[in-house]
Amino acid sequence: MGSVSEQLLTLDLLADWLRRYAAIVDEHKTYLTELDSAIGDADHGANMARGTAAVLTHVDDATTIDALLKKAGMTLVSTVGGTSGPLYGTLLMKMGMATGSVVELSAEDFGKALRAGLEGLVARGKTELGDKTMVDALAPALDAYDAALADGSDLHDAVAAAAQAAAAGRDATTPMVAKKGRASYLGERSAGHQDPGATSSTYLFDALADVIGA
Amino acid sequence: MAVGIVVVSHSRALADAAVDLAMQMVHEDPPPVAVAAGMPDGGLGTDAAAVAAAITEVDRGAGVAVLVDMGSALMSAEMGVEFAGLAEGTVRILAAPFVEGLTAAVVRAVGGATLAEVAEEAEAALSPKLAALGMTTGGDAPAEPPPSGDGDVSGEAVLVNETGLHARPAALFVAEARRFDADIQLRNGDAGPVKATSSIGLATLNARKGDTLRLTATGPQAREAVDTLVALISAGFGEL
Repeated sequence: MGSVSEQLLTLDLLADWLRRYAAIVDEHKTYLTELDSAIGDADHGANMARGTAAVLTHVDDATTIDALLKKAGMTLVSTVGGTSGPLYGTLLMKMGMATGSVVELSAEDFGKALRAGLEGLVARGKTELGDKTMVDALAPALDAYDAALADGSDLHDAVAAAAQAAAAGRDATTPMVAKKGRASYLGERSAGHQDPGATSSTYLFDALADVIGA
Repeated sequence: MAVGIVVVSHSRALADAAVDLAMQMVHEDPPPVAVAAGMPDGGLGTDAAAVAAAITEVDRGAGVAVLVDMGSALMSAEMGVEFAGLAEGTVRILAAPFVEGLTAAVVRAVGGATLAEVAEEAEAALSPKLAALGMTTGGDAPAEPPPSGDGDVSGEAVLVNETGLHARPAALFVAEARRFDADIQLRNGDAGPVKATSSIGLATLNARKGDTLRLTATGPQAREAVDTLVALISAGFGEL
């Protein structure tokens, strides 16, 4: 178990989270676009790299967690270009609305913020689990995070469990038939391809695990 | 006070061209139209903040109709409507085909139609194409009035211009019909009746050169309306 201070998610840590996420997306943008070229319009990597790069220009300005997340979300809405913009934007903006004007969050409150973000995203995308979308990585990750905390795990272990569950959820999208987005035009032919949105969603938890050291 | 129109597309070029096409049908003061399309770097994409700005720009208090192309355009439009924060029900994202719907919306918005009228017209905008290609429209076009068609005043006119009642004459006809305080309906043989103020309704008549159009009208200005419109048709919409 870590010390009490290590159990908090500070403004600086969450800014680092967004920086690390941008770095991972940039590193994998060609891969993301390849995934998207199989079942989508071949722009997910480029779109997300453009959006997260724009987020980087603002992360230093925020003085509270809600401001950091809302600004990052709004930036994604305006710069990503594809459906991922409103979806990731909603996720982060709803998280920001849930945290309040604070500079640190408990592991539990961060989980609640993630949950509010996911609920916003689901409402925005009118998406269900199993539709071969971001939700298929995010929902199991959040469930694993909450379950780990409820079982008495510390933040490190909860984030590690979330990252693992996100990856499993991402992998499970491969045989799914897409129900939403451009991939749904392909119907049955969308099966056999890993979902790009679930893949970039998994990077959120990879990035968090990296900055927490989990 | 006209309904404002916002055009949301992945492509700035596509949106601008669609607006140009629609504006060809406008022969009076056009309604306020704003485009929210493409990314600042010229790439393809949609931006909810740009949609919100466009809504604010064209809002004159009569409501705003939003046309979207596909995919993320709808989601960005939904988010943009929320960002714009106008009163509930004053902004509508239209379930209309992009090009035909935009044209129908622009033509209908000229001269002060309500948002509901603009939406109805745009959302029926696929029906002429469906009818022309022999596809069922799943019911009468919404612009079509009840089939009584018996008005106080009636008149007939033969279409004399080469292209019949195609889009530009139809737009002129609608603009003229709207000037009168009268409920005017139009038939072409068995087709119709349709409202004379509906360009989409007129298009479903499939009226060609040599066809005889029958007008009926009720209301205070029924006689002037029928006489004026009969003269307009007989004169070939100024195209002769």
